[in-house]
Amino acid sequence: MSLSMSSFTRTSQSRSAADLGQTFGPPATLVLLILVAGISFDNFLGGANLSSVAERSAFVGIIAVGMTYLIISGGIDLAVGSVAALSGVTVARFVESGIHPFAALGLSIAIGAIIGLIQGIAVVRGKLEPFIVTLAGLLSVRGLALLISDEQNIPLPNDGLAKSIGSATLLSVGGYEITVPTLIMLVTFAVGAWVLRRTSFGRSVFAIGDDERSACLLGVKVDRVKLQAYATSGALAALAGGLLAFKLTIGRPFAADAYELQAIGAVVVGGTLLTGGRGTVVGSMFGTLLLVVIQTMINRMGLNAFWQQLVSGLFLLVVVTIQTVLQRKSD
Amino acid sequence: MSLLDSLSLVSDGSEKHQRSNRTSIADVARRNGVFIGVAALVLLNIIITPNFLAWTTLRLQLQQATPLVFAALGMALVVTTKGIDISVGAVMAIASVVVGLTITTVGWPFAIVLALLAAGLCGALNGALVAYLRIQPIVATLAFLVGGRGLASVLVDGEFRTLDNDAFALFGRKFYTLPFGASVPLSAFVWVAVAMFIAWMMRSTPLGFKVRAVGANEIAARLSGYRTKSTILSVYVMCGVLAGLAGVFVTSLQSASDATQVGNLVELDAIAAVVVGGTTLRGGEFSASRTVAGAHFVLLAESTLLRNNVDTALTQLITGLLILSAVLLASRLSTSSRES
Amino acid sequence: MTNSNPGVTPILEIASIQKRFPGVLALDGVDMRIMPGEARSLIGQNGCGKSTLIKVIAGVHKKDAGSIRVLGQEVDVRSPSHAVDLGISTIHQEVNLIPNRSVAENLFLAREPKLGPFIRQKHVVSEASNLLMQYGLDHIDPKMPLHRLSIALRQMVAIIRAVSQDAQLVIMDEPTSSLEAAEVEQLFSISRQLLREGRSVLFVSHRLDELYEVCTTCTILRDGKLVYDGDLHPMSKNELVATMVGRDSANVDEQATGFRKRPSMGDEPLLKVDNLQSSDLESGTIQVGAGEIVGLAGLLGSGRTEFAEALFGLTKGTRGDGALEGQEALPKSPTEALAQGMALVPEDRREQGILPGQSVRDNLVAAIMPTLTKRGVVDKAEVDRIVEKFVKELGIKLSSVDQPIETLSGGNQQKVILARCLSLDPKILIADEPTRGIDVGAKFEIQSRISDLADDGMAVLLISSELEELLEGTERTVVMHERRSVAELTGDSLTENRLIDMMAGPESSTQ
Repeated sequence: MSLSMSSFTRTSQSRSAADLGQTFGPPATLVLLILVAGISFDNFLGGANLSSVAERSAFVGIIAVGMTYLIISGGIDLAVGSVAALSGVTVARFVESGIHPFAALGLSIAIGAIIGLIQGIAVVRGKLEPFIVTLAGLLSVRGLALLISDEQNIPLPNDGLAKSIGSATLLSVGGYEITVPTLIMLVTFAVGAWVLRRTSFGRSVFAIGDDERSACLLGVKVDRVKLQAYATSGALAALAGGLLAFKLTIGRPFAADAYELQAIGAVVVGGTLLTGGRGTVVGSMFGTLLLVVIQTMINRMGLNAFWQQLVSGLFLLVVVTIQTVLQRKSD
Repeated sequence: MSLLDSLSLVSDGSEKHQRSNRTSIADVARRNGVFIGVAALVLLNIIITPNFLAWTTLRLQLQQATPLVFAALGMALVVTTKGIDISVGAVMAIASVVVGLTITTVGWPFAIVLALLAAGLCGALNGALVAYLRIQPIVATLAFLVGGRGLASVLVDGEFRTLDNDAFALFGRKFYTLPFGASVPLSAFVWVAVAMFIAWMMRSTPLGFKVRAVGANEIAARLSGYRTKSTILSVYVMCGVLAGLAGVFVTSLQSASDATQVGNLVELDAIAAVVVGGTTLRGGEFSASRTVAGAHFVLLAESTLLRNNVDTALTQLITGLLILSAVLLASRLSTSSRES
Repeated sequence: MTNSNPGVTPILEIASIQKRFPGVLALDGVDMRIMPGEARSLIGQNGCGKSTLIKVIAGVHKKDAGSIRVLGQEVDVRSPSHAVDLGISTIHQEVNLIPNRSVAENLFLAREPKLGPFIRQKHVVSEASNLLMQYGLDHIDPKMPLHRLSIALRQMVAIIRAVSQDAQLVIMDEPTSSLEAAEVEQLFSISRQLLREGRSVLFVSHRLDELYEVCTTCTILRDGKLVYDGDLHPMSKNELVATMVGRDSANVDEQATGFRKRPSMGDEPLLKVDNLQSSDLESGTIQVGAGEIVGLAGLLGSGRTEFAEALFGLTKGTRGDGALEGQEALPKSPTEALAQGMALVPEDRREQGILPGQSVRDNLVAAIMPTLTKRGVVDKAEVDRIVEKFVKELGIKLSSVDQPIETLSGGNQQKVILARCLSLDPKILIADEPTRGIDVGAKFEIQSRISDLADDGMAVLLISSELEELLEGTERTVVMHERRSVAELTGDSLTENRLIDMMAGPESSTQ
């Protein structure tokens, strides 16, 4: 019972250029950039700088994990920045009213998950474009944050546990420090990657993004998985926003501005296709770090934040174009 | 199961029946809801907003609507081809900066021309990515949303540049006094003219026809002999030029070019205006009048709340929810007209 | 319950199933019963409702009326996963797998072996290896992404997934359309194994030979109705085709044709291609002369439409000799094709023809619009004149030319599409199933219009799955089989039996 080899000719063991680029492009580029920066700038590879790069990546990085799930499943969440801001505000309000900081963070994460779930329901039950739904979310959740904060910054304690959650150093080796946000980012990436690869939820996310109709025919519970993905994205955005508030010791309604773009950018640069069905959480981590390293380098060159924007946009353009061209060749 | 049902409808041999009356009522509601909405907001304002009918209030409304009307018209053109352009705000900023950089050397008329050219070029870049590289519209324009404002800022080092050009400032600020105390801003004449021109173009030129055809059914358009790629490209160019016009107007109104604030988040309002106007995101449909009405609805909703001392926070929250309900309503109405 | 074999409960028994889609009754009171160990074939023309029937059984579509009993229990199949729970697994017509995931994942998606919340990754891979080995596909690495496999191997993976679900009934909808001989043989042996285990198979295929290999009983549908239910083997292949296309009964006389017998014109061909090839076409040869209607026949999947698309410049990378009269080569795009005087009425009116949401007027002038301008502005008077002319000429029934195209009946929609082509005054008209799914009156009108056009010197290539149409309408018909043009029938040889023989396959034409 063996088959003719003719039907096997199109099967090749080698991985396509698109796959290779997708997997190894982001880390290779990251290493290359860090090397170049290390040669070009003093102390770039030093503990102070790299620790700060890691910590500054933490907030967008945590959001990028949820965004990765959504984008792989063919959705998107534009409301993450607003949810993060709302979470910062609610954390501050809770702590202000005497609630334990951990409980405050937990409650805020629950609120974020509920907001995500509501968006998910609008997408799944209302059959609306994720883009439009979360666009409305972006506007109204930011409004909610402004409302709850009375458009004022709400101070958080600058000492004790609250301060520690935002900035305590957990581990320091030769000046290379891991602070709480950095650790939480690393844990989120690790768990996020694990869930995507090793659970039915993760498998379903891929299947839906790749071919929703087939996934449904194969017995995947499409609606439930989508709701879970939106809730996860909301919860992670709230986690990032809460941590940011603890770090800045302030709940700021205008915080996390344009984080949705940074997170989407990080996911795309990390090799996840916006057409859905392909991508990795680990890639998003490299994407996040890449964007922060580029910003740091531009900063070191003495150029301002505008150059950071310009270069990030160009970088995104180049990455998307390369992805599309490679993809077309391999298909 | 409705997902599967809709995806795997048998296409061969299906004989579409006449639509029932009920559904055409839904369709009429979707198409005219925005006018009723604007009328309702105007009525509400007459009742609750002090001095709403004063010409100073009305003309301010007409003037402030200008940039959004331009941006929304451009967005509506792109949406007609099933696309989207989230970079209109960044393109506005680039246009503003180009005016600021060139006005002293080439004079205001050429500065405007150069700004519109630059904006058209930005649109062409977006359009090329969408039409020729087949990158999803939202991704293609995302890069420009991120990078475009950076480019604008880099060109002027992020400076807010005051322009000292009275003639140019008139475009944004000039009012005409008409009989009976009526006072109308020059810019209102401009956006009315532009909207009418686009409405005419979409109705009466082959290009407008092709744009609708490509959005309605790209395969059928190709079989009818259209070069669909160049049609898509041209739509993004037009969207860019219109965003440029919006940027030029804002620059004139504030007599200053500004890379960081001009057009900030306009893309959101523009998409909202198109959607509230009842235009389906499924493509093939365009209405200048409904898009203009949609832009006015979005602005009126915001200004109604603000004028009545609702704070910005609540205003933003309510606006967001209003957009969502408009989309939901429009999608319900258009689904019911398709399903039966 | 009526049971021919008392004591044995049918695995599946459906009765009076109805399913309506907007404007069409896809299934009209269909009955079917499948016993344990039975291999039943389900056949019918394209659009006869067999795919719809399968989707109703598989939980993709909800039935509108009728009953479904599984092992004697009346059930309401809610979803595809529910169907699997009921013991019905389905291999759908298009491969419904996830292209970018591994073979192993595809085999076990939504039923992964787990330890707590986590998938037992190694287990999935080893189970997949076992399955692949069991079915002789051990040369496939289970970790390989599915899209790297050939279409045929993907189909085999889908088959293995379906049969490994312990289903009592395995439905196979055109499982062999992308398989080669060796794999087809493999599929047969898998099927026979299932039958020996007392499981049942519902088999759909347009390759009639295969049915005899596996199946014992047969259900034939036509226009959503059951037209045959019984044993397969007493029926010859030609009888099957005749029953499918409905040529044997009295309704032959009911079907008035709008075609007239016309003398064959031996003119220089306007279109001449020799051994045209593309990715979907192995070899296509045809000539069409001025004033001639040439037919293109073939069963579903025979390559008829692919041939037409290659001629019209829709397919990239076509090879072969051919050109329109006075041209160097075949058009490379539809734009070029239209400019060279070739027009196409596409097969799928909804997907490729109409511009939904646009008015009848805009749909009708879509192709000619760019030329109807005065100083860059559309000449509305000229547009209206053309619309009025064709509405009258083709008898398009409408209340206003401003009404959206979808509000017309299918026949009138088709006339608008035909008018769109004719407005360009083409020399060559390719009409792909121009009368499919439209009412008798409109059909007659379109057919007689096509005859008129040929009388006026147009070269017409008529693609049809209705033998009637080809026999009445054409002087010469080219038959496609397995993506090749295999025969050209003219004059006395253009008979119903010859057509049926050649469509069923040239090698089997001895009967």
